[in-house]
Order: sequence, then structure tokens, then C-alpha cells
Amino acid sequence: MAHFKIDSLIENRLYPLVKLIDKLSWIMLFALMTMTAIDLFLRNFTNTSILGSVELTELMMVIIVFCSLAQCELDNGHIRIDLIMDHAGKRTRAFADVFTQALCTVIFALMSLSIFNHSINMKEYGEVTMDLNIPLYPFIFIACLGCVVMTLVLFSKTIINILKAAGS
Amino acid sequence: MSPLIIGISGIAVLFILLALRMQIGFAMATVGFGGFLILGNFESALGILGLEPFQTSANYTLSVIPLFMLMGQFATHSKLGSEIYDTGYKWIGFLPGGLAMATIGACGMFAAISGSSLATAAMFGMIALPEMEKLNYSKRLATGCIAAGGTLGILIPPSSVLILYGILTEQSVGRLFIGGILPGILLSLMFLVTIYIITKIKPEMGKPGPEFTIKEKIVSLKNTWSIFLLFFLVIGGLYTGWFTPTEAAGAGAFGAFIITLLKGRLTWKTLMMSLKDAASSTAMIFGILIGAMIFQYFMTLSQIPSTLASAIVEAGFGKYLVIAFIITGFIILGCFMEGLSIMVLAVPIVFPIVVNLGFDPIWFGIIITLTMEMSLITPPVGVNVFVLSGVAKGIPMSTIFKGILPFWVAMFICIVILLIFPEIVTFLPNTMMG
Amino acid sequence: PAMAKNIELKFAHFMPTTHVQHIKVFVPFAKKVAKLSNGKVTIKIYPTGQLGNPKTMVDSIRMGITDIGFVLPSYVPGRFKRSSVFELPFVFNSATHVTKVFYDIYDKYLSEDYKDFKVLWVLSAPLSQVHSVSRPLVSIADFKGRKIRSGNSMESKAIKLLGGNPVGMPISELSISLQKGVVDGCFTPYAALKSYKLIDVSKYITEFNFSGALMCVLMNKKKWDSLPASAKKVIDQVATREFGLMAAGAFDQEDLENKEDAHQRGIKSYKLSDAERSKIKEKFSVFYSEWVGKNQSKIPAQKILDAMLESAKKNQ
Ligand code: NA
Ligand code: NA
Repeated sequence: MAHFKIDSLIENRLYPLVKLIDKLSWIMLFALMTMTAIDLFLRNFTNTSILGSVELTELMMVIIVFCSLAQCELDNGHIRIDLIMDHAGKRTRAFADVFTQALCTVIFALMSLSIFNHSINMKEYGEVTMDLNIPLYPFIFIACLGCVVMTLVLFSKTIINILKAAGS
Repeated sequence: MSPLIIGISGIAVLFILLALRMQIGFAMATVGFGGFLILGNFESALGILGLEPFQTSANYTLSVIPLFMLMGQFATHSKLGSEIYDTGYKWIGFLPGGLAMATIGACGMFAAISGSSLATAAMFGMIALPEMEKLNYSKRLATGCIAAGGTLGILIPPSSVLILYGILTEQSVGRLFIGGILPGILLSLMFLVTIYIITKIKPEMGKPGPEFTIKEKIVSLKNTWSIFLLFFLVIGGLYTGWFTPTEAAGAGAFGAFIITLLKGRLTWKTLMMSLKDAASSTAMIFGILIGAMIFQYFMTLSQIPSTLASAIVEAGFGKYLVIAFIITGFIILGCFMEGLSIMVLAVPIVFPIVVNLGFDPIWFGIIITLTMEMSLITPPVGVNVFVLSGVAKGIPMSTIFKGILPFWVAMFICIVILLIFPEIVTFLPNTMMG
Repeated sequence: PAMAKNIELKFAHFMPTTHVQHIKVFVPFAKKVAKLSNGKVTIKIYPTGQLGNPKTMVDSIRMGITDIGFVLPSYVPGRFKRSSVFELPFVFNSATHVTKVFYDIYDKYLSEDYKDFKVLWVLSAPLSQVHSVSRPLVSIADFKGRKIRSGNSMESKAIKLLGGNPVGMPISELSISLQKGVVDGCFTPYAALKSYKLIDVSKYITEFNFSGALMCVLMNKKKWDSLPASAKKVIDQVATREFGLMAAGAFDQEDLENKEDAHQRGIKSYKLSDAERSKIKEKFSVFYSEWVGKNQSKIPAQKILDAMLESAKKNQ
């Protein structure tokens, strides 16, 4: 029974959320490309340019990276070395997966926590970008959100792996 | 326990986690965090987890990664890759290993517009691999030549590694770039020779295709206008001063977008697919980069790189023995670590030693870049291979590592040649810049 | 009083080991502390950004990733609000000048910026000058339509006020961009000519004395509080105002040597005429009122500005 609840929770709540923020990442990537092209056009043909394009690029990079981390994990896009476990038995593999995914969950939970703290601190310190003086903390907070979603994905994978290990 | 022992244990734990199939970047982050926790304290270890991921991603020069990825996606979806390979196939496909040679040539051309080996490897993983699979190439040769060809990205200018070396050692980046040209061409030629030898010994690995008539060859050229246009846009823009090396990636992606549009191959679906895949590759690369950055803090405190360097000096050997030790040390470190981290950790320590021994600093920069290239493809931590295996779904990493070996040997021979004839590096900068 | 056990402190910076501050300031600091403490307090230097880059260093120190670190307040805008008064243009004439004024008004006006840290010493980079490739930029008319690399909002604003077009790019790409003509010029001190490879490409330098850049060596407060009194005494004995002035002097000296090298390589220096300087100064006066306007809700901006300007005149 519990098994079913978790499955539907993961599929109906978590996956759409992951997809949603991944789309944010696509939009930012397209925006980054377009902004660079417009900046180059303006600079070479009208002798004006987009002020602060360097820091805008940096802020867009944060969104591109952190909003696509979780979808990449769902697609098993984060690279692993299969060399050794390819030769291990099914049960050993399942246990190893539980162990490593639990470890990943912990490290991303800690990362989320620490990035959250950093965002709160930055809000208090009032650090801004060099040229346009845009506050940094909202972007650190977006990084934190990306990490939280990533933690949830890793946690759901750990649970699925536990169920697999128990079943095997 | 001394920091050194903790550092070595940390590396051992990293190996175990990697063997258990943990995601590489996350394993490095975990060990880096744990190691810093032991050598420092909880607050500072947690602090690194909060600072590095944001700082590593909020990086202007690394924006070339998603943008060149996107360029690669557009180029793939507008069939630019298939077209150039069709042309390459018609022109040199009849040679044994001809398409692998075309890949090396294309990697070398692309390297001249990209400063990143990862982007080069990922892009040709997407473009060249399906084409070689169509011709039934052995998977070892196909992936091996892409992973190796990709490393040309940091030797042939522009190069992120040479820029970093220039800044760390206060050498002229212009000289370093010019110094990289001849060795880059030399290494490309050696890769071609490697493919020639491989297919001479085992012709079944890269079977020659049928021969085409001159007319067919000429006709095939008409499909290549778009890739040359893109090439001249990026190269031309860079050399005429329209844009900086980082902006070149954005210009290239936009150019590829427009070309796809003009060819009538841009649908809503291909646009979404391109963005999704480029974002996913970006996430994968930054997953590794962020992990490597966190791991590097731990390595710094463990003193492993600095201990290694001082051990070399204290031994009191002759000039060439020392440089051999340093190169070996870099190659060994390169097995476990990402190239830029090694550079940041070890170059500041060994650079003064090398210059004191009377070696040319520009030459040393090129040698170090070659060892960085090797580090990208040596197991167990061979970032280029990871990236490639992310793109090449279904090909086991062990296959790629096996395929890499002959190219690795070619790189090693290239280093030896540059040791014997340093003029290959120093000739151009000295004649062109005085 | 003898210390119970040996203390090792981590000192992080992000420059190469060939940098003047590393050679002439950081290494001598470590040696002096070791000597005065009879080897009980050792300082291990981590160069080239191994424990923090210009953006993260201040947090690296705060979180104890390093014990001591070299911080550039202008790289983390908003963090050192009071000290940002030193970014205002056309006030100073040397790194030593900036440093004297800093110490002069520190106790009364600036110390609040540093309350989370133990300040060891403070200095400034030499003043930035205007470099150009296509032709010398010695008057407002020369700036019209020129593409100039800008590193921060102050420079962007100045370039706009002079009629030019500010272009943002990382300093690592500046050299090749000047060479290729992506930009015509930039703001940077003589002392940075070699470290950013500008000496190969720069052709004309106009001595603007635009602004300095504050730099400080800070220590983690908790770590400082945990040190035994004898160790604190040794560090306080070395890290003094005089030490900061010495560090600034080393930078001024480096600036001078780079200037001579530049001239030997055929780079030409120009001075602003008095008439042109006062015209530009008038255009720049808006910086002062804007700085006060932007900051007065959080800090006594007008008072800090007045104190800084007065001390600058006095210490000329
Ligand atoms: Na390149
Ligand atoms: Na490696």
C-alpha cells in the first residue's frame, strides 16, 4: 500500500516539478544565446552595447545549471563508471545503489542547506553585481531551489532502490 | 594522522565510491566535503558546499559550455554533421579508417574555435559517432578517436588551459597561443598516423568505404556551405575583433540557429529537443566541475600536490630527470583529478623549479597542456571519456578507455618529441613576437 | 610567556607566487611572525586561489575555510559599504596616499564594515590609468564613440560620461580583445601591465589617476579570539599600519618599475592638461552626490565622504 502512495507521489508531484524547472533552464539558455547575439550586433553595428552583459551571463548560467541538474539525474545523465559493477550480481548492485544514492542525497541535502544559508547571509550583507548592482541573493536562492529538487529526486531514487533491494 | 595520509585515504575512498557506480561529480563532492571536515572543521566544510556550486556556475568564461553544446545540437538537428561527414566520407572514406581521420580533422578545425575539450568531445560525440556507427566502425576506434580528438580543443588556440597557465605564471597568453599551433598540428598528424596504423593492423576496425567519382565528390561539397559559413563566422569574428573568445560560443550557437532556420529544419520540436539536450549536457558537465572544485579544496589541505613537488626537488637529480619526474607526476595526478584543478594546485609549485632549471616557460606551458590533455582521457577519472559516454548511450566506458590507449601513446610520443625538439614550440612565438 | 603548542595559520590569496604582494609582503609577514614567536606561530601561504577566489575569499575567511585571506572589497560590491567611498574617482595620487587616508579615518568611520573580522592590514592598488591602442585618449573629445572595457559600475559610468561605450569582459580576455580591436582601451594601473599581458598590446597610456582599489588582509574572528594572548601580541606587532603602508609602497614601486618597462617597450605616456582635467572633474562630480544618495539610508554617507576628502587633502 505504502509502496503505491510513494510511487504516485513521485510521479504526480515530483516529476512535473522537475520538468517545470528544467524548462526554465531551456528558456534561459535560449535567452543567453539571443542576448549575446544582440550584444554583438549592437556593439559592431551601432556602437552601443548591453550594459552588464558579463554579469547577466553569469546570473543566467546559475539558472541554466541548477534548474537542469534534477532532470539530468532523472534521465540518468550524470556520469558513473560502470567498469566494476557490471560484473557484480543483481543484489550487490542494488545494495551498492542504495548506499551511493543515500550518500548523494545527504551531500545534496547539505549543499541545499548551505546554499540556503549563503543566500540568507547575502541578503543581509546586500552584495550586488559589479555593474548593474543587481542583488545576488535571489539567484543564490534559485540555486538552492535547484539543489532541493535534486535532493528530492535523489531521495526518491534511494527509496526506489531500497524497494528494489528488498524485492530482489 | 598526517594530512598526507588523510589525503591518500580520501583518494582511496573516492575510488571505492566510483567503483560502486556513484555519480562521478557527486563522489568527488562527497569525498572533498568529508576530507575537509576531517582536516578543517564542519563549519568550513559546509561553507565550501555553499560557496563553490554557485561560484562555479556563475562563471562568465564557462558560458562557452552550454553555448557550444547548443551550437552542437543545432548543427546536429540541421544535419550539418551528417553533411560534412557525407562529404568527408566521399573524399577520404575509401581510405582505411577514413572517417575516423575526418573526425580528427574536424576536431582540429573545431578546436580552433573552441577553448574547451569537453565541448569538442561532446559535440563530435553527437555528430561523428552516429556517422561512424552507420559505417559499422569498431566502437573502440570510433569513440577513441573522438575522445582523443576532443582533447585538441585545449592545445590548439584559443584554449582555456593556456589562458589559466598564462595567468598563473605571468606568461604572455599571445605567445602561449602561438606556441600551441605547431604542436597542435603535430599532434593532429600523429593521431592520423595512429588511425592509419590501427587500420593497417586491423582493417576490420575501420572498413574503407566505396570510392566515389570526382563528380560525386565535387557535388558533395555543395552541402558543406553551412558548416563553412559557421566556421568562418566564428573564426572570422574572432580574428577580425567582432567578438571575444567567450562571445564566439554565443555567436556560433546563434549562427547555427539561423542556419537551421534557413534550411527549413527548425521545428518547435527540434528547438525544444536542442535546448533540452544542451541543458542536460551542461548539467552533467557542471555536476563534474562542481564536484572537482569541492574535491580540490580537500587536496589543497592534504598537501599531496606540494609534497610531491618538493620530493622531486629534494631528490637533486639532473635537469631532464626532474622534468621527466614532473611530467610523470602530472600524468599520475591526471589519473585522479580534473585537469584545471591539477594546474591550479601544482603549476605554482613546479613552475619556479622548471624555470630555474633553464626550461622555456612557454614550452613548459605546452608540455603541461599536453599532460592535461592526457588527464582528460586516462582512467579512472577521464572527464572527456565521461562526457563522451554520456553522449554515446549504450557504449560501455571500458570500451572507450580501450579505444583511447593508442591515442594516449601518440600523445606520450608527442611529449617526447617536444622534449627533444623544443623548437617546435618556441620557433613561432620567437619569430613572430621577437 | 611560552605558548603551549605550535599554531599553524592558513593564509590564502589568489595571486601568482610571482606577484609583488606575495614576494614583498606575504612571505615577509609569515617569516616575521615565525621569528618573533620563536617558530611557535607558523603561517602557511596558499596562493593562486586554492582556498578562495576574489569573489569567495571574504566568505572563505568568514566560514573558516582559510584563517587569513586577501580581500578586494570592490569585487564584492555592497559588502563593505563605507569603504566603497575609496572607489570614487579623482581623489588620490598613489597607493600610499589611499592607504594613509584609510588608516586616518578608519576608527571613526570605517571600522563597522569589518566588525565580523580581525583586520590585519590594509592597502590599495596603484591608481588606474587609461590605456588605449588606436590613439591616445587625452581629452573628452578623444573618448567619443570609443569602446572601452569596463570592470565595474564606476568605470562604466565614467566611460559613458566621457562619451565612450563601456564594454564588459573578464580581465583575462582583455589582452586579446585589445589586440583584436574588440575594445580600444581600458582602465588599469601600470602595475597590472605584466600580470594581464597588457604590456604586449597597450600603446598609449594617459595618466588619469582615476581611482585606487582598496585591498585588505583579514582574519577569521573566531580563530583570532581562540589564539593565546602571546600569539595575538606577536601578530599585532607585525600587522600594523606601518606594515600596510609598506605593502602599499611596494605596490607604488612596482607601478613605477612597470612604467619604466612600458616606456622601454615604446609605450607612450600622456598627462591630462589642467584644463581637460578640470573639465573631466566637473563631469565626475556627479559620482560624489550619487554615492551619498545611494548609501545615505544605511550609513552616514555624507560624513564619510567629507572625512575622506578632507583627509585626502591633508595627506597629499
Ligand atoms: Na582551442
Ligand atoms: Na584522468
